[in-house]
Amino acid sequence: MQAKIDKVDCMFLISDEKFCQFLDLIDELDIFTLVLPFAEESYQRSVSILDIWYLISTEEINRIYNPENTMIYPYRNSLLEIIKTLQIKRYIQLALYDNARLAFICAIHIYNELDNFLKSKIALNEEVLLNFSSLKRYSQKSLRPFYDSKYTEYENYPKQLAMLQSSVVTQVQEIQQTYELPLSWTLEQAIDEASQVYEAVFGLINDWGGRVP
Amino acid sequence: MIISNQIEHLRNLYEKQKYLEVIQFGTITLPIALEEKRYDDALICYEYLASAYYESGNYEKFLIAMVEYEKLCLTYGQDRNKMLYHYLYSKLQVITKNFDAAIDATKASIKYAHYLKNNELIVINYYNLAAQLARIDEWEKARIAMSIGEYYKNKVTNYNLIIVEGYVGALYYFATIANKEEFERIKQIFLEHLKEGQNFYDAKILLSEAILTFNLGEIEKSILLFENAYIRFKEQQNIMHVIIIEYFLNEFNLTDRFRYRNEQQQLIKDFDCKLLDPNKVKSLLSDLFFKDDVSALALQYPNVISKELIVQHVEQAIQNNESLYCLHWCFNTNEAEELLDNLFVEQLMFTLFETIYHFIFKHNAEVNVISKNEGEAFIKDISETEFFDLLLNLKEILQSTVVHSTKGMVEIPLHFGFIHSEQLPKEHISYEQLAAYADANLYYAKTHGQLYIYN
Repeated sequence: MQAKIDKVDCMFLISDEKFCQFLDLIDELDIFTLVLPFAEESYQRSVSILDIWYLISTEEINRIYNPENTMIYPYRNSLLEIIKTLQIKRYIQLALYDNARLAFICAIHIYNELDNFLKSKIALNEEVLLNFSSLKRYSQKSLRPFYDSKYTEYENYPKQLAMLQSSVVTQVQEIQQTYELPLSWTLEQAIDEASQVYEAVFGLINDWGGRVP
Repeated sequence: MIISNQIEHLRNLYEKQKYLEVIQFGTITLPIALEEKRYDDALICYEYLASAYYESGNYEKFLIAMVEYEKLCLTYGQDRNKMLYHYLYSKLQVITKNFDAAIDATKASIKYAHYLKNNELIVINYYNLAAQLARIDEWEKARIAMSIGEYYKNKVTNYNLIIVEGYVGALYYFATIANKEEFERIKQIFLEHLKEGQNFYDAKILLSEAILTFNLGEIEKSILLFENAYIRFKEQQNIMHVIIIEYFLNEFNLTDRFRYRNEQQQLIKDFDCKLLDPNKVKSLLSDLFFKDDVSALALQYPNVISKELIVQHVEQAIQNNESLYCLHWCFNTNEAEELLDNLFVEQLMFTLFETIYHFIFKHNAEVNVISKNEGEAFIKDISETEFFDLLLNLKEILQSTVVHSTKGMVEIPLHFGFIHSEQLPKEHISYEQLAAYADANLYYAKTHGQLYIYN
């Protein structure tokens, strides 16, 4: 998993300390990242996992979106919108707020399953697949430079890129509506698997071994 | 015998640990499969042959099989073949004591195994990873790897020889961390599943027990076990493991007390130890770690290197306060693809790439091929005037490539995006930033139909 990411590309405004914690986790728990496929290795994937890690481990009231990135990365934002609707088991959710390692492993599994699910549904429609593939070609680097003010003499914003993202987001939202139940189930399974893997390595999620209903 | 049955026959022989017969049969089946261009079957033959050579301790033939296997894998290999290739490559690197390379290869194999949801190879690789990490004293990561391996083992319902072989890695791990209880537990499970194969694997079990007892402080017992393991490996003519025993004896300072020291030295002397040089092995077998299209280009174009290397060199240049240009190029082949034959378009893109390469080569640029019609280059020690001369010359040569076909004339629009490191604030200069800005410049050049934009 690519560790060379920039804090400014996170969908949330996060502290340096929090960001460093994430980078340390990439190093400490790199073996857990082996479930992520080679072929999809990219800058955007790493920052998306950062987003998901932060989202699931921080209470809503404490989360502050980065407004610039919401505009620059609507696709990544749409992924977070899906994840926000997840019904996470209470004992896992409580643990996620305190347990950065658990959150990291969950974020990896959630991202992986969500990406696989979307790919499988997108593959059913050739035009949708084309848009998705075109967008993936921008995934190797940050998109912030595309919105640099020095390009305003050419365009106020990169219209083609924005339109491409917008059409992919629409398609993702359609998939979310059409496959609401299987998608929720898939992601809940991902969290279950992640928590089981965590427990196999580090012991029970709750120190006292119980489960909060 | 019908060809499809031959592969099945190889599989049956292998599962019965009849490695010599696998080798005999495989060396007949393989050339037939190659001649008939049945590359899927040929790859499977290589997998069984390489594994059989490894298990029977024939290092030289194992190395040769791996070299040939890699070549075929690069051209015709599917994900499953690459998964097995990396698994076997890691075992080869362990023999040459190149543990970092072994670990990288095991991790690569694990990635493929997860992608293919092949629980057997997931388990075996995590066990091996644990053993390899323990060898370089990464205790916590080794523990994590073993725990994850155990987790996935519980998902495996069907035990066959492949997964049982993975227990050897687990035994080495528990021996290295001196955990007697877990070692005995794994050994019992291993023996239960081995059934007929116990005789063959007893040598490896003895070796792992020797390591365990040494780490538990039972030196005399350890020496005895090393001696018994040596006798068994010698009987099996497994020179690889005779050499591995020597490694351990040296590491544990037990060589002087080893009864068969002289005989062992003679055996090893007769073996060509140059073959065990990690650098030699790496130079023979390293292409699969590049992306497939890069490795083919890198053979002919020495300045085409992997992204990882480019990032390293750029970071180095930044640290040395050297300024450099990052240049991205893109040919727009949409129109050409609609009108012309695919093969012709591919050849055309290759010609265009060659032209760019030769032009920037004299500036000692380092090139990363992103796709068939996109690429990236980093150029140091070039003035602004020289750089723009380069771009304009390139434009002239490349844009004059107008293809005449029976269907009409096709131009290949060309676009560049570039940035000089001094255009970025010093604290923000990195490979990622340079590449991102070059990409952004390229994007605006493309969307505005310009060769490049400059501000």
